[in-house]
Amino acid sequence: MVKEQKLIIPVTIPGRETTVTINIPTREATIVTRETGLADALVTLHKSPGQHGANIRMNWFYMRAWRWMADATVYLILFILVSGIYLWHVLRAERWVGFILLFAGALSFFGMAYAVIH
Amino acid sequence: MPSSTEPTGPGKSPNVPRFRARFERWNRKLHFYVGLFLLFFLWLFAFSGLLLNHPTWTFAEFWTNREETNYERDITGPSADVKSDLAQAHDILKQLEIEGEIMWTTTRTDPNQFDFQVRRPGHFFFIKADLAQKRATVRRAEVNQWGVMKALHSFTGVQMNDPRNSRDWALTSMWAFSMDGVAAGLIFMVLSSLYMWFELPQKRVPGAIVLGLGSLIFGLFCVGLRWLF
Repeated sequence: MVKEQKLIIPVTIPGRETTVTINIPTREATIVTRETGLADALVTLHKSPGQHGANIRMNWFYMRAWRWMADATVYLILFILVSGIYLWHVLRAERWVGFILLFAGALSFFGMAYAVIH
Repeated sequence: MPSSTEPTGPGKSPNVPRFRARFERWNRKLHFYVGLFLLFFLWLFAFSGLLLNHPTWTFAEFWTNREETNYERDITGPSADVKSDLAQAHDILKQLEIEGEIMWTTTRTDPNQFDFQVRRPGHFFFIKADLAQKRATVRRAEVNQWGVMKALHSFTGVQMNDPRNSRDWALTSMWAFSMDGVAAGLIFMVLSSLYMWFELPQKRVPGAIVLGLGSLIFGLFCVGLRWLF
């Protein structure tokens, strides 16, 4: 972003925020680094890429790699959920208890979602 | 007939203490009981997470496909005992028959002009109340099911860097509480599956390799990148 002949470039690495301020007329750059810690790193990774500025987000190789990891994790979770259902289904002794819990979970989920949406 | 959830792993000693056998049995049972109860929550958060990870996927676009309606209503001014912005907003919402989480997006400079947003998954209300004229202008935006799904993923009513916004709708708190429950359930499932894996001696080495590799990748992103760059 350009403001008063200054170019400000925010650079984020999970756990660290760096702001590079370039003074264009004097051709000088000021670099301010702030260590934000592990908790902030987790938040940054969890929220990336965010809902705004999709075209300019994830422009660093490692953040793109994180996106691939996140995708892989979701696909793996979806597979685990399906395989888990199969493994439960073949356990005859637990089928009814499982059905009751599945029904209770569905009721909780759809009930809450309906209440929040409508 | 023994339950199908009895531990059946090979290499199990017949002299396993009773307490441990019972713990293993219930660990296994609770693992899939919790998984079945949370199944729909997990599907939602997994699938919506995938959508949020790819904001450029056009089929899941919701904001550009929104439907908007605008209307105006007469309102009564806030009574003397209503002093805070939040109380005033609740008072106006009651008159407009709107329910949802209040979002503060602008700083109030004119005491007679009161602008705020109200959100709930799928619905956005942009409210501009003129307290002097006693009129409220409402812009209502409705989004499609993709927007609802994405909103449910992140509908907490709070923003980490904005202390002004806090939960003010009971249903937001309920949904946020259910998110906590899902997270706690997931932590339990991970721990219980770790225990079940560890009880299978022939799977320990490959499991440890996979666990180590996963931890290494996780460590690289959470901590390692700061050291490397």
